[in-house]
Amino acid sequence: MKRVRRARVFSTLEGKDRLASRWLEPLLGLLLGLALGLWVAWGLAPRAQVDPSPAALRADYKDEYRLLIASAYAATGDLGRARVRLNLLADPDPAAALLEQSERALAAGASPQTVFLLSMLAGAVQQPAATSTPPDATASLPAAQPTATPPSFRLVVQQTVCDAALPAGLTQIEVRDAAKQPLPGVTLLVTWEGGQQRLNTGLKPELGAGYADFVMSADFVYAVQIPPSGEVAEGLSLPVCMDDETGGSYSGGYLLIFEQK
Amino acid sequence: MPRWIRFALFLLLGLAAGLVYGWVISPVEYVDTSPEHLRADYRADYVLMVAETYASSRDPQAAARSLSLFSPQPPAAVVFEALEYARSVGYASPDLALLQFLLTAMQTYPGAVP
Repeated sequence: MKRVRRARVFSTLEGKDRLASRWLEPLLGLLLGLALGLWVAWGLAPRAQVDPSPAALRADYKDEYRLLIASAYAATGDLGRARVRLNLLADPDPAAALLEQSERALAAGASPQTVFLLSMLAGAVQQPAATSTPPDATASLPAAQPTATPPSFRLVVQQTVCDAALPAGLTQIEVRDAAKQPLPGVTLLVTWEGGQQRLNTGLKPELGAGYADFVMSADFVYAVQIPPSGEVAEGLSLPVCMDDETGGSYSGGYLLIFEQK
Repeated sequence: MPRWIRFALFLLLGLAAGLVYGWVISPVEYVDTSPEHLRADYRADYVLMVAETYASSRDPQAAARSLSLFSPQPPAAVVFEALEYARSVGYASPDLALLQFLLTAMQTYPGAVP
């Protein structure tokens, strides 16, 4: 009786071994193959994810990218395009990212212009978008255009400045909002025969957030306007100033003040 | 079927599954990349930003520095490539003019970027 029981027990164990052997080996093979495949696919020969977006940039490059967006915005005043570009970086809050970067730049001793550019764009993007449609990050970037109605400006001061300490032909411009507060980030258009130049207020923050300037040449007559429909300061040519002490003359400049209507 | 053949078959099956998963379903995602690895349209827009800034600042050194961060190629070559792309996809004329303006500046810019 005992022998029979032992034989049954051994038979059952052998059956389990066969069963284990039957499934264990393929399972081990499968797992080993899977691990090998993942090692090859992720480590040895990864399939490059081609064409990453700016969101994949390293943190320091993202900082450079943001600063470049801010510089381009200061140069063009194109907030729509700046918003699209910021969206490409996939920051959860682009304005907060700009402010945080400007604070880091300030702490690191970066130039005031860098801090100002970042802060200015942060302030601009915090304002409600011009349209209810969010910028489409996949749209063709250069095609993106803002649809807001631009503010109009009037020329409230156009006066000659005679100060021998200033560079000859220096034209100082100040742009204010309707509450007479300095307005940064405004693009001005300076034109002369055969040429034009765009200026932006706020790029010399030490002289005021709404300040911009340029130096006139004696060969041209200039006009300054805040496009597209602002009043024009025209007929700007080098004014002749008299030096009371020496009785001689020197070239002066202008002060122009534009105010938002 | 011999045991080793069955083992090898399952090994190959696992290998194939691992490759499909690692290459197709969940490929390696590159993070912390440099600007030179951006897609062509993003690269062109990066250069356009430099061109927009340069048109206002007229600072070729700053422009060259921004471009050098973008690519180890000479700045003029980077701008030329972006301009070619911009032409091929039909950028607006003012944008093309800005890129052309920057290209001219970089072609005549003598200084190597520190």
